[in-house]
Amino acid sequence: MITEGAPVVVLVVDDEEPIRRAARRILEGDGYTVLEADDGSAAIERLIDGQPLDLLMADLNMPIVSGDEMARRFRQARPDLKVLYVTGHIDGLMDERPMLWEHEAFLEKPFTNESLKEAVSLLLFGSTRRPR
Amino acid sequence: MPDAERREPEALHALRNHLAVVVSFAGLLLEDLPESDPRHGDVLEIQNAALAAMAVMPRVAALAQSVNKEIA
Repeated sequence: MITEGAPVVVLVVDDEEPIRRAARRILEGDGYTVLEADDGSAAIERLIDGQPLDLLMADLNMPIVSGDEMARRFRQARPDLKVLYVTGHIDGLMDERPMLWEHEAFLEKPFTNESLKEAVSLLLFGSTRRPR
Repeated sequence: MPDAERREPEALHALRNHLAVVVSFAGLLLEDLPESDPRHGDVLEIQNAALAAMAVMPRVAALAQSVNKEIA
C-alpha cells in the first residue's frame, strides 16, 4: 500500500550494472526511490532486512537465483508486492507461466525510458502517468 | 544439449542487454538535449539504430537455430 507523501521504492534487480544504472536514472527522474541488487540472492537479503519496498523490477534471466524464483520468494513474504518482469524472452516466461498473477506485468527488453516509466506507474497507480 | 545450441541464447541475451543499454542511455541524453540542438538528431539516430537492431534479432535467432540444427 502506497502512503501519500511517502517515498515510492523500487528495487531494480539485474546482473548487468549498466542496465541497473539506466533504470535508476530513468526512475529517479520520475520521482521514485531506487534500490539496486545485482542478483536474486542479494535482493532476497534486502527482503530479509525488511526494507520498505513497493515494486520489484526483476530481470528474469539471472545466474544463481532466477528472476521468477526470486519474485516467488518475495511474493510469499509480501503478497501485495508489485512485480515487473523484464525480459527479452517473453515466450519463455509464458511457457512457464501462461497467466501472470495479480500485481504482475512484464516489459520487453530493451525498453524505452518512456515504456519503463509507464509500466511502473501502471502497476503502482493504475495509470501510465504517475500522479503528481 | 549441444554446446552451439546452449550458447546461442546466451549470445542473444548478451546482445539484447547491450542494445538495452544503448537505447536507455540514448533516451536519457535525448531528455537533456533540446530538439534545436544538432546533437539531438544524432542521438536519435543512435537510438533508432539500436531499436532497429532489436527488430532484426528474431531473424538472427532463427538463423542461429537453423545453423545449430545443421551442425547437429
